[in-house]
Amino acid sequence: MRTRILVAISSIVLLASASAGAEPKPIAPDQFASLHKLIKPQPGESLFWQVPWLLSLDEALQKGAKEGKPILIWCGAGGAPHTVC
Amino acid sequence: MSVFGDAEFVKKIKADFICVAVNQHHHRRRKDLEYDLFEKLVEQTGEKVSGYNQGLYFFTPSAELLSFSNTVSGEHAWKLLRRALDKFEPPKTLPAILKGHEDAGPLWKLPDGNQLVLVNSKVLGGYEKSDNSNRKIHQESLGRDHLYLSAEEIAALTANRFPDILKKRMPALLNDNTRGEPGRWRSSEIKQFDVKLEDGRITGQVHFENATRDRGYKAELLGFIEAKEGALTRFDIVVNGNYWGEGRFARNGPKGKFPFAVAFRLSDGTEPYDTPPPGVR
Repeated sequence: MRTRILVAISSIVLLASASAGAEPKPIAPDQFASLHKLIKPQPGESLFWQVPWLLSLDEALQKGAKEGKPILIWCGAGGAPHTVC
Repeated sequence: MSVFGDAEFVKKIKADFICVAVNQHHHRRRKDLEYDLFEKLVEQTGEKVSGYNQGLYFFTPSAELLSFSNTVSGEHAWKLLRRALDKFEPPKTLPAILKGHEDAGPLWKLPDGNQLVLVNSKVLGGYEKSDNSNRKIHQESLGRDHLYLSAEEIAALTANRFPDILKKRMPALLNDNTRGEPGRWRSSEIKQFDVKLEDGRITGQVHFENATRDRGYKAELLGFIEAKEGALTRFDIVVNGNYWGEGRFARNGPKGKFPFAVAFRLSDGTEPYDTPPPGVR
């Protein structure tokens, strides 16, 4: 875990130093894989994706009634957690 | 930290709640039972259905409000959750819910022959340190969006040609959406989006800038595609450069120019957010 964090931090520093302020430089092919990986969700990040979100209120209310559980609605402008906001 | 980054909170809601993700943008436009239920829930908070119904809502299966707030901050969300559990009593009988006409329009499915691309974005530095919990959440957050590739676009890409229509659609995704909706680039603000595809390798230059020059993005693009039997097996792109400014609904960005990158990758159908959202670009 620590190694992964260090790699991520190093990559961020690398990216930031390469581009902040100055004109952006072409992305070196040998950096591509690490950059691509860095911008993806990291393991353990975005835990909300582990929740089995339903997309229908009707289905949720019926399931809640059947299982005797309350409902949590995460309401977003763009469909949290599936889209932008 | 966002409460959804709190492992204990996530464990709790998985165990004790039925969880629903609602896109208010589309739920408030539906013409079916889903709209009726949404309206019933929202009005119990003292609000009307509008474009500003974001938040966490806790309800009984009879659609009675237990607690609500427009927050994802940890402390506040835990209070809402505890209040909801304190007030909740499991129903003795199943509430009668009449299944009416279903407006399936917003529950869009990927057409045959299309492929879904997952898009993530990240601010890679430049924030001032903040003690404000919501700002901290935004400073660490990962932007996410989707790009559909149509069958025609896939055919062009597999023939080693970058389709013009994709050049028009992709700029909308090269935007700082890590703190909220950034506001789309207008066509007049697309100063440069030169993309070339040669032998499976995509290269390009990006320059977007608004008229007042207080919001823009200047970046380089590199990507790789691979295909098999007429379908893409790889669509990996990185766009990396300097962003400046912020949108009306994405305030508190870093000052000045800051490093900002966007990554594209094909969905393999295994991630929870592979669900194609409505209105996707």
